[in-house]
Amino acid sequence: MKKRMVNIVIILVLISAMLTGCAGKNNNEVTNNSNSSPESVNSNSGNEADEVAAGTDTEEAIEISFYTTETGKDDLFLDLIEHFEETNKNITVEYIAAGDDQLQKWMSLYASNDGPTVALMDPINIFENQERMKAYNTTECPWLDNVYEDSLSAFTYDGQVYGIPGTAAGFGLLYNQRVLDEAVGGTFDPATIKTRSALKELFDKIESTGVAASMFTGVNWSLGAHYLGMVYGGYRGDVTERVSFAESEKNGTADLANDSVFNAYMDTFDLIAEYNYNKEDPLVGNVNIDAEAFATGKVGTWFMGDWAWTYIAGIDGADSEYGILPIPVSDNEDDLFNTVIPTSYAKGYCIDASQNTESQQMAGQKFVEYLCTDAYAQQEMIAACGQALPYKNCTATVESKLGQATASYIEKGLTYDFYGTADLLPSDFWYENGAYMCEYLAGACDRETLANNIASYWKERN
Amino acid sequence: MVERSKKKQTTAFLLILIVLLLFMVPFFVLVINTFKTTAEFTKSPFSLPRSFRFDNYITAISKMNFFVALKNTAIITISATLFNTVISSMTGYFFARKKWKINKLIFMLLLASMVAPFQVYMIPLVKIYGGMLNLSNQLITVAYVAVGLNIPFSVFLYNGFAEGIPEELDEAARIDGCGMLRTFFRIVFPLLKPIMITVMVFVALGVWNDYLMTSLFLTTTKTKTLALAAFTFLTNHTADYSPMMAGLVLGILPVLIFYLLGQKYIIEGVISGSVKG
Amino acid sequence: MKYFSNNKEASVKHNRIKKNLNSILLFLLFAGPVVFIWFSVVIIPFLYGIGITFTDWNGLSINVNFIGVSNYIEVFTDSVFFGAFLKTVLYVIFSVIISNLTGFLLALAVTSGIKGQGLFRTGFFTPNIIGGIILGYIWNFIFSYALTGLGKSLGIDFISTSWLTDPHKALAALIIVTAWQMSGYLMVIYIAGLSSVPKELLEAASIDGASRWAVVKKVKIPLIRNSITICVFLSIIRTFMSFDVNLSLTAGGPYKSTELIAYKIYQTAFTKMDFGVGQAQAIVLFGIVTVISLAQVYFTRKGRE
Repeated sequence: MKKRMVNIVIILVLISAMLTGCAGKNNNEVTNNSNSSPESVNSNSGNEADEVAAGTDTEEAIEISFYTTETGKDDLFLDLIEHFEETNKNITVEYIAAGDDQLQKWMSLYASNDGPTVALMDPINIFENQERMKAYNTTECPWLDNVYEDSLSAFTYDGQVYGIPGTAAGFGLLYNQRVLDEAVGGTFDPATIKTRSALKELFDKIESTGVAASMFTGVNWSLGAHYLGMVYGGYRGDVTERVSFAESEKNGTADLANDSVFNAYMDTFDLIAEYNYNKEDPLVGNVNIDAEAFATGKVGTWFMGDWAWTYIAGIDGADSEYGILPIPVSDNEDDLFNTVIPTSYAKGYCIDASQNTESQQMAGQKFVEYLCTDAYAQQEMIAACGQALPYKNCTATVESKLGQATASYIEKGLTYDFYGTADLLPSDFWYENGAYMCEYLAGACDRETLANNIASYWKERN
Repeated sequence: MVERSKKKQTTAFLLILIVLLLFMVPFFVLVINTFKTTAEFTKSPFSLPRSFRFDNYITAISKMNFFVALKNTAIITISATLFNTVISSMTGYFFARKKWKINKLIFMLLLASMVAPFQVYMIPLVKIYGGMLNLSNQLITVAYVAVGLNIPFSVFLYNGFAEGIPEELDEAARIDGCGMLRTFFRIVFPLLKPIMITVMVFVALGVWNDYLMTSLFLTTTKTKTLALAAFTFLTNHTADYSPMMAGLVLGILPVLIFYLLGQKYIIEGVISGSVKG
Repeated sequence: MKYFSNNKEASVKHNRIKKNLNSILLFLLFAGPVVFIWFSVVIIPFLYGIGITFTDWNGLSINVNFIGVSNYIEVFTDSVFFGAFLKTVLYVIFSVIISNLTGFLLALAVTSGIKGQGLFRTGFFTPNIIGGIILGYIWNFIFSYALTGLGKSLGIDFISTSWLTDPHKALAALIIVTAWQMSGYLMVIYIAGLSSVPKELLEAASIDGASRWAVVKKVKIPLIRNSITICVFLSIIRTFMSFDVNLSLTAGGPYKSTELIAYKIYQTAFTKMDFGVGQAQAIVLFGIVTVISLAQVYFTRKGRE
């Protein structure tokens, strides 16, 4: 008995020793390491780069890696890599795809000194780690001109371009043309919905044909990143105004509960929630099931984005015509924001400069150049994602009806850049506030509580 | 009297059979859905498949690069399991026979380390083995780490079992002039068979199915294991479930067979191993 | 010290030195590889991990600053973290009780000489053959669609909406799935314990006319106390660390109401990119679980003596 006690005491002592003594010692090592690491990394890559530069008169075999957080597109990217390697025989591209864990995987790649040469990441992630990234410049990359300038805004920090946007995603209220045609008795024209009350009328008409009018998919990314994200978007003003609002939330001077933009969007939110197909159990949140209901005409409209095309494709008995409606923010017909949709460049290609040699970075730039200028690459990309690309020389057309809808808004100039700037919303914004939005959708809290929850999230970020 | 107890037994049998069937529902769901398309699966995940189509299995095999992944998984699992078996059983036996202070201390620390959350040391692990030693994307690295992660549990079980082997056996061997090492391999090792198979099954199951640790080290297509390859079907916000499930079923089959083969020994092993009285 | 007493004849000093050398060699031979690998895979990275808790590293940044214990201060003043901890305690208590009871009852059933023992033993263990993530996905479908379908067609309100969308029921669902998986695992250990109960004792008890229940209570349970200790210990550790099922079954939802502590740690480190804080949370968890599990082992053992 006594012996056991002794054992237990020994363990406890040892553990506490581990936690205190050794920890302190080790900790120094960590900090030392990390303080010296930028130099060592830099000098390291510099040396290697010199060697490579000295040795390369013509072409030397270069291995680079490409990390994508756009999952489920392995076939597309592997095909493009093969095509790229055909014309760039000296470059081999290692393909790395994220699973459910995009940031964790990115971190572990860097931790093992295998920081990917080219990575397709969210703007906020590139922004937060720009110290590791190489900026694109027009001397090395004359093809930068080929990218629409306004699509670069979320990837430009201090005048430097750190990312090249991939596909353009438009979102709003998707609609099923056949269902809406039946509801209005004729061909439905999205331009007729210019106010919130017009939308309500439309919902009533849809319901009178025995079909549910609208739908939310009760998941944090849709409600948090997209719906709530709009509150910090174009309706608030230009980028400076958006940033200053975010700042005022952080320092607690903003009054979200009485904020007009917030309430404008939340009024429409309530409207959609009232007609929600998933009303009985709003948080089940399965995109596939919702896509099925939408495509087969069980519901008329759906708050989602044009990427939903990839869910709809392959559903038995799906309708063929779809479109996108803006989320109305007022009852004023002249309000421009009742007719525009947000488009976002949710992911961009960035190039690592901290763990890749100069020649690898160059090869990486070549790969990005290929992805955004090559006709075959563009065509395949558009076909696989069903979305438009922000590249000037792009001639490939979008097959997806939803992608076409976004394109037509872009053509008419009826879009605004959802992000505007990369660091507007912190990287956990969607996760934390998405939860509050779900709570609100489920009726577990009122709007004031929601506003307070969001406000306290921001204050913690200060 | 006899009849009544017979009746009782039948009821008990039926009752436990029902419980078992309830237990098996998820597997049933998994298997029937491998014969459907993903659209069919989302629409009615619990209906029987319309026909036995093996398309998902074919897709899974080609998309997951199945045989490469199978080979990788097998290499990691087999080497980790065998190596772990040899070294942990030696230590377990050693700690059972030599109750030195240092041994007791290490044993207790081993147990305490079972409590450490993996999150604490996963990124450091990658920093050390990937970053400093440049060993990522090597199957052997994963096998090595897997050996290490399974050491506490294995030593714990071997130790318990070895305590139950009468010391006279060792002494008899010693009189014959055997050293401790030879005693171990000649006399004790064969006696450890039941617990060995138990530990091997537990370790192999864990290594075979591991996702998190493996994903930290293996990133290239060539080195993917089955657990990693199954996530090929994951897309942003959703997944192509049916081929994914087919891939999972294919991945489970080898372990299931292994388990069924070793099953006879498992309980025997635990009986004499961890739990004495 | 047995070592020396066994070798009384060899008490010459010279021999003792040789013995000591011999002991070191023996140690290196038998425990060396294990200690080396365990240190290199578990202990050193663990200490490294502790080191990170005193920095502001975000998991990626090149520049890292030493910031003392402020990550720990943040952990101890974070009410959300303690909320997650309390939820986890609730989850642990129920999961441990239910899975140990189920595991024990299953073990009793399959050692009672029933037909098809082997089949049952295999069957109940099978949930452990598949990794936790995919099981969570399957159960997700069961709770969201199978049960709701059943509930709607039978008119049972209780299950006609998904359990996973109600904060309390979602926690219950997590407990059910955990118990479902773990009870088979614990069953194996309980079977082991029960099989080691001497047959003579059981026979003697039944001759004395003791009822089945009395035999279980008076003979079996006291004799398998060791199994109980081990099972409770293992289940406490496993449930406190529970991550896979949490991620794939509820992903912390609805609205973060089922964010258990391991999941919360993961989110802090990898979504919020507050890596140092995430590590500090994990260390705090480690401390708490160590104390709880040691106390558990201590008290169950004390109870026996």
